[in-house]
Amino acid sequence: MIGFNNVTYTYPNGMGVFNVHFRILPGEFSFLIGPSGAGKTTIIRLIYMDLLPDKGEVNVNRYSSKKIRKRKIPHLRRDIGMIFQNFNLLNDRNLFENVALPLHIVGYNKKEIRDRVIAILIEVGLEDKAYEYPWELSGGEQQRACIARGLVKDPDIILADEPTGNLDPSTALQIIRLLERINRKGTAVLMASHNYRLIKELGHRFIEIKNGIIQSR
Amino acid sequence: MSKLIYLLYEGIRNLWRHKLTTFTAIGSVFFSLLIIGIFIIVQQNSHQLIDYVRSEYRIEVFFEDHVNNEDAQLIVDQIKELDGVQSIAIVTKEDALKIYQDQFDENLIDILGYNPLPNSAVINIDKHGNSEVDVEPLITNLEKISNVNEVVYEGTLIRRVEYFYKTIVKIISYIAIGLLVITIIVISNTVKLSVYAKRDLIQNLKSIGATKMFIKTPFIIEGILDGILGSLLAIIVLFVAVRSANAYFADLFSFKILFNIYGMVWLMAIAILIGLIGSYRGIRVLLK
Repeated sequence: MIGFNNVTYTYPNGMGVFNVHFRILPGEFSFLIGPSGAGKTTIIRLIYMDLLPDKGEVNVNRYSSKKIRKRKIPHLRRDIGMIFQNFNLLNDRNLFENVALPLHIVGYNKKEIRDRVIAILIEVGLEDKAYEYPWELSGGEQQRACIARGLVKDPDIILADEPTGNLDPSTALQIIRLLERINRKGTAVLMASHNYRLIKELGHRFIEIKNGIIQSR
Repeated sequence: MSKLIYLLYEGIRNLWRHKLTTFTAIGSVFFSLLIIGIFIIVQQNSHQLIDYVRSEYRIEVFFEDHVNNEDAQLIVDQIKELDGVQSIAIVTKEDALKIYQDQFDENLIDILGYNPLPNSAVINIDKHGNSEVDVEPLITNLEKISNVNEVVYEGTLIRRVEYFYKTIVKIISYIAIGLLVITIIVISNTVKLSVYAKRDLIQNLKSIGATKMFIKTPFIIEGILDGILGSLLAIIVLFVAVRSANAYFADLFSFKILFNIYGMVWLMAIAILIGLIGSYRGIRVLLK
């Protein structure tokens, strides 16, 4: 599903990730942990091919970083549900429209979009907030909306980059429980976090990174 | 098909969503095209004004005293064939006497015992479209005709009017070209900046798998709509201003300001093109 084969990516300031090697299998739940600046976001960006490696190869489903054409990258991203620390919801449209956006990109018709969005909003517990705007919601609700948007196109993988970073511990745990529930239905989840205390008891796999080098996997 | 409808709808809704940038873009299109529109109207009406002034150009040809009415008619037929003559009207000795009497309230026959006024003709000159009128060659040809005693015309005045018109047309053309270039740059950059202000939205769309076309289309539609609305507003204001001016000055002048709709259609086409190019340039930079 996701494979890193001795991947190196270096930013102009010399930071980056070096000789990274790991695999994530279908349906797996993994945490990518490490302090701020360790290279977690770089790994996430390499997975959705916002960055392409200087050395080595990243494989995501049937796509390889060595062979992928630029115009095919949006297609790869359609297999991935992205969740961000800052939620990245569009403030100028309501929750329904935000969640529906990935379906419009793929070209679903109006009825399919309505059915899918309503179903996913029920799943994340936001069905009564469908016509509210992101700025009218709490942080936890915005993150659940972001998960709904990532999930609505039924992706193979959920990539969550510090999804609990802006949330209080109790809301953060609710978000992780929601991701676990999604994972139990077969979607692989890779969640980046620097909050080891929050996740250490959950019993999932850890991939630890420090200064751009994998410490354990 | 549903994707295309969605993108068109998004382009229209973006106008409302991004109110401030829409207002700025439409405002800059409006003000720039208003100024260009004024110049187009001035240019179009300067033709009308010069035609009116030129219609007042007259050349009077006085024949020798011994030329009778029949001979005068033969000379007139000869003049008709000359280059630069639009029309010619014969003024017989009798007509001239009557005109004199009307103007000075005196009967020359009562005073002198005979009619001293010669046969003559009044020429209206031919105007070659927008080009400068040069009467000198015609005057030379008229003076060469036998039995022509004197050619009277307002040579200095015609030369001055023609020089003034030529200079004005040149200045207006230079200003209009300069304004057009400035307008293209200003509008294009305003639209470009309004796209740039939405770079977070574009990054967001990219991260969830939107293709370049999906991201570009609503912005380009928005840019075109900015152009249409801004130019439409400018055209409406110009139209109302011209109509009001014509109504207000109707009692003072017979001259009516022309409002040529084709010039305005061009204005709108330019605005649409600029909106399209501006938004395309803006989005292209962000999608690299």
